Amino acid sequence: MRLRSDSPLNSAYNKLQGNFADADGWNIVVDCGQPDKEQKQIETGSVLADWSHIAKVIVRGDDADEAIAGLNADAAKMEIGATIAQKESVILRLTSDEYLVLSLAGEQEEILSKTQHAKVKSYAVGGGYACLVLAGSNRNEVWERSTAFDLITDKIGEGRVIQTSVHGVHCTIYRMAGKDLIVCNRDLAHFLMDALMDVGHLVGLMPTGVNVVPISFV
Amino acid sequence: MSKVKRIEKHDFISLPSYSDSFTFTFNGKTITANEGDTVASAMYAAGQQLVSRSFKYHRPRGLKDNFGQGPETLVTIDHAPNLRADTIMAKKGMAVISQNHVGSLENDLMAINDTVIRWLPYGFYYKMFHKPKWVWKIVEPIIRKAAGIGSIDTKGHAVDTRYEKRYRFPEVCVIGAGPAGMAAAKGALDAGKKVLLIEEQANIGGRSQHTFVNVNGCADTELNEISENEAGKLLMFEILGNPNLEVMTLTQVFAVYEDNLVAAYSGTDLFKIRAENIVIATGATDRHLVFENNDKPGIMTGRGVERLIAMHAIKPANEAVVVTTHNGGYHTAKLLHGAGTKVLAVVDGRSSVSNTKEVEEIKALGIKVIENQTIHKAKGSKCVTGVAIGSKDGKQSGESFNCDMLVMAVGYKTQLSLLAMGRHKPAWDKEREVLKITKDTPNMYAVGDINGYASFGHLYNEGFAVGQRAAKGEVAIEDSRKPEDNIMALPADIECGGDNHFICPCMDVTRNEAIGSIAEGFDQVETLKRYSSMGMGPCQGKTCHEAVARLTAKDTGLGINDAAPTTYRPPYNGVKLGLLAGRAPHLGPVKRTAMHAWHEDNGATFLNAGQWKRARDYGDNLQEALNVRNGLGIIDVSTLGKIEISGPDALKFIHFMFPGKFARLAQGKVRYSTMIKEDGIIFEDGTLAHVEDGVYYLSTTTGNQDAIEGLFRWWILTDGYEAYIRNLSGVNAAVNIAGEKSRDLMEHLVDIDMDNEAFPYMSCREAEIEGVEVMLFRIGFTGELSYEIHFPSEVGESMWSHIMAKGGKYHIKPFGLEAQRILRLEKGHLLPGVDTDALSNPFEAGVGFTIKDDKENFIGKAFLKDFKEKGIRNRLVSYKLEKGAQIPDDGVAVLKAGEIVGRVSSSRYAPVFGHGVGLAWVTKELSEAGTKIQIRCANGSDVAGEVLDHCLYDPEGIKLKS
Repeated sequence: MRLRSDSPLNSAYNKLQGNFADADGWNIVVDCGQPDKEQKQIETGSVLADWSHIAKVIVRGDDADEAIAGLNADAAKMEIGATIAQKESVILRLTSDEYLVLSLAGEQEEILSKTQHAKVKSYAVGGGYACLVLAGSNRNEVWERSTAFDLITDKIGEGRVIQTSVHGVHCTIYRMAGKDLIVCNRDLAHFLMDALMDVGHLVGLMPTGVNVVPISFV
Repeated sequence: MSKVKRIEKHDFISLPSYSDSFTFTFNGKTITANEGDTVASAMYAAGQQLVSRSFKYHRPRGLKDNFGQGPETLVTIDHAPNLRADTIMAKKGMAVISQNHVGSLENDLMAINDTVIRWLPYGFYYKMFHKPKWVWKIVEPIIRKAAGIGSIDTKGHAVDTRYEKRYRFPEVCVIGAGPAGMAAAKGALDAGKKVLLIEEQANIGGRSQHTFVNVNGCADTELNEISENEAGKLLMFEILGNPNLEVMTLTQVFAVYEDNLVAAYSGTDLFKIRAENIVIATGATDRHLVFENNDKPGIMTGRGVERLIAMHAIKPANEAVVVTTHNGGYHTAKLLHGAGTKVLAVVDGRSSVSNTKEVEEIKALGIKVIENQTIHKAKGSKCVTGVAIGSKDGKQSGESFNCDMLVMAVGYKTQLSLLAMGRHKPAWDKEREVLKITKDTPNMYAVGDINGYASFGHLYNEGFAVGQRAAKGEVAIEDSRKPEDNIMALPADIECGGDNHFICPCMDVTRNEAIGSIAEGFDQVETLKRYSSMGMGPCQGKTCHEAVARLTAKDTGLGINDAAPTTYRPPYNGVKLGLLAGRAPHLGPVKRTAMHAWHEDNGATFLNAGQWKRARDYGDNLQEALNVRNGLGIIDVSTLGKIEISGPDALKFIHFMFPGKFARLAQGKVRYSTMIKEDGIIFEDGTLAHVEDGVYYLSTTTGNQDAIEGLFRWWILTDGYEAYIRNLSGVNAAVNIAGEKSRDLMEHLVDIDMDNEAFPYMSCREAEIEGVEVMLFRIGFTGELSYEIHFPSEVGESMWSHIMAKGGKYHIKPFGLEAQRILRLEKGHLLPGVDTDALSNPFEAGVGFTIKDDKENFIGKAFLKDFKEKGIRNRLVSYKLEKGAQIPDDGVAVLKAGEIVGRVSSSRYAPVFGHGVGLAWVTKELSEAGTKIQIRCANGSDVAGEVLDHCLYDPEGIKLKS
């Protein structure tokens, strides 16, 4: 049996009374002990969940457009900052020659196989990136305290991806209906979560897990 | 002032009614406040007219404009100094303390300055006490102690204050919520824009909150023929209902920077506002008139008095005289009369005004109107007890009145700071007799009284039109103020004799002092300002800027535009440093390894290595080092940079980036290499492994990984290498298992042949541990047989725990960075950036073996050739100390015969030898093995050292290779 995989946020969630469960070999937080309250908080405040176990594949190179076509023929037609999302996966166009594909845990091998190309480096980032989800009606209260980028008006709408700094951490942010997915380097994830919770807990931000904010990329 | 009181009704206006009252203290005295009171208004209502002492002469000062412009209301509130009592809302239980006095506020011993300093020359501290030199050393601290206003809270009462940093992104940001600001907001809202309206006071409405003249000429006809107060409320209710409007009250904008960045704070929250368009509607405040004793408590501005009455339901005084130059003075007099204050006279600087409606109305109330005269002098000791009036030129005396209040309603000075803010200098508008900014700034608009006084109707029309233009980013409208709105300016100083004509109330600068300074040669505004300190006090010229300009022009003969105050710069008001700093936990990102929690749980102390938190030790770094030497240790080296290089041009690229040759680096082999900058200086070292056919894996030091990745990408982009870079630094975690038992442990961990011949020193292998693919590197920074294991970060903690469990049999112990530093010094390994600096070339650093300059061009080749030709001048050498010798600090000097001949770069106690070891830069002559050197410790004592041939520990590398 393979060694257990841990999210970089597990130690932070441990301190927040997180309950954990196995998800495709990953030990991942499912809730923080008050799932009903956490669920309600999505409607009245905001929550921070951990999706770090999802599959993450970077497709980068001069011929990235050709490589990504193996996954979705329309992906290369997207402008930078656009996305193609389905419930179980999303393709994010980050730059002219770089895509980030996110999918359910354990899907990375299939994504890699479909995006193989001689001149493109597709690789699974796996545990190298952390994925936090900021969800809830009141999450702008957190954003306005966390980034100099305008995420509190409607300038960056649902289905868009941007890369910016959040509390000094370079992040890729994918906006969905009612929630935002924050992807950052693993080594900075704990700091980022601390910072988000620090500014957020006074304005209704609660930690939660994947049972309260189940994975869906739309 | 015992006759000051709250009033429940007013003859002419409705008063605010407050249900909630509470108490706070001022200098220990209980003050009762109503909901909606500022600290200053509550104190005034309680009869506390004396609020502070002036900066230099310690003259008594009291509430003046009730708007927070001047220095009069600076107090300490709950240990926070220099807060303006008329801008802080009163709160239950506050402890308010007065500042800048010795003894009580009422009986300030330092008030003797008002007599003594008058006998000293202007700027006495520049001229006196400097000879003999020792005198100044005694006098300076006394002067410094006497100067200043509030005292910093050195006891840290506010240490837990939570400062937030927040952002806003309005399409239109309106600064100032008076009639023009509200109308501008309405204009922009009507255009469908998202608007942020910022007001520094508790309520929006600006002057309309205390102005009750009827409105006419307003484009919104519903606002005509009602009082300005009612019109303001209607306008306020109309815009407040718009969902696209956000209103921030009690919010102070303190700067407007380039690219429309507005900086503001509210309480302990700092706001950074990026606005597409900015409308500045900061208005105007009552003019500061200079005359004898113009600083006494009891002298208030017209609007200041109106605020006390209309917004706080206070009867300001028992008997008052109003000095004015415009109809607003009559409005003030009427409000005073209605509040129960006996207005003895309205002294109007204009002539032939008796037939106007306002004058007739005042006369009908039994108030005397005196034309074509003005104030000459305020009388009284600690507060006003009377006034003398006379001609405007100050030469002819007139009547005197006994009264406890003098109201100055002599026109308005424009509040230009935010509009100018380092961009434009104000210019004097001769027609309106105000300072103005005449140049436009793109996407920035000025509306309202900031352009010169105008009626409510005019302000509304102007504000609305500008708001609409701001919504579209169109150019501002032309000013269309009517001549009848102009307010005449009295002479800036009423020259009727006396020494107490205060131009700058913040710094206690009088007219005589300014004239004296000019006579000494400081006859340009820049030098005059610096010499006399005019405009350099807490209000930063907001009170005096116009008076300074006019009087400097008069006294120097300069044109008024040349005498105008110097550049307005941020901050507009005092800003707490805590606000600018923000939340301490967010000052810099912190990186943690995948095994950080284990280290934390097992007692590690951490040190900062760049952004990383690295385990420094687990309680005893010397024992940790010995564990490695005598048994088995494990260290978390996840912070090392890990960069994969592949592609058809990978080798070609490597040959360009690195100074060595790698064509013969076989698959499965590892080589140590330096990295050299264009100037031939060593900046990095690491190992390069040939892990797969055409795929190389570079380990870099912790601090340089991002820079190296950026460098690689830059050269690939610019030189067109077909090489691919993957920064796996975060993707992979890593540990190093070191010690003579490390092979034994590895044999239990992996399923590959770990025999020395099968897996020799400086080679790498793929393997598997508990279902996880890992990469093994046999390298040795510590000088021991050791293996570095790289594996996916997500299994970091479980991998570490697994190794610890398997290693228990061999008594494996974790060791931290400090132990590693000891071990590498025993082995004589350098650390770039620690043992090298911006002048260290690889030949002198002892790593010249990594340079192969017979290959084609590579980074740094030209300079390396030059270095080689010039030869060695200094050398980095290992040294040892005698047993028992003090361990020098890193960086101390190396001496020979008393002369400095080098420096220690790294120094530690080596537990395995029982004495100190280190690396030091010395001159070539001293670099021979066996040379005795002298090292001067930080405490001044010298220790003897001996230069080593190579290193002390296992110089032949037998342990590494066996």
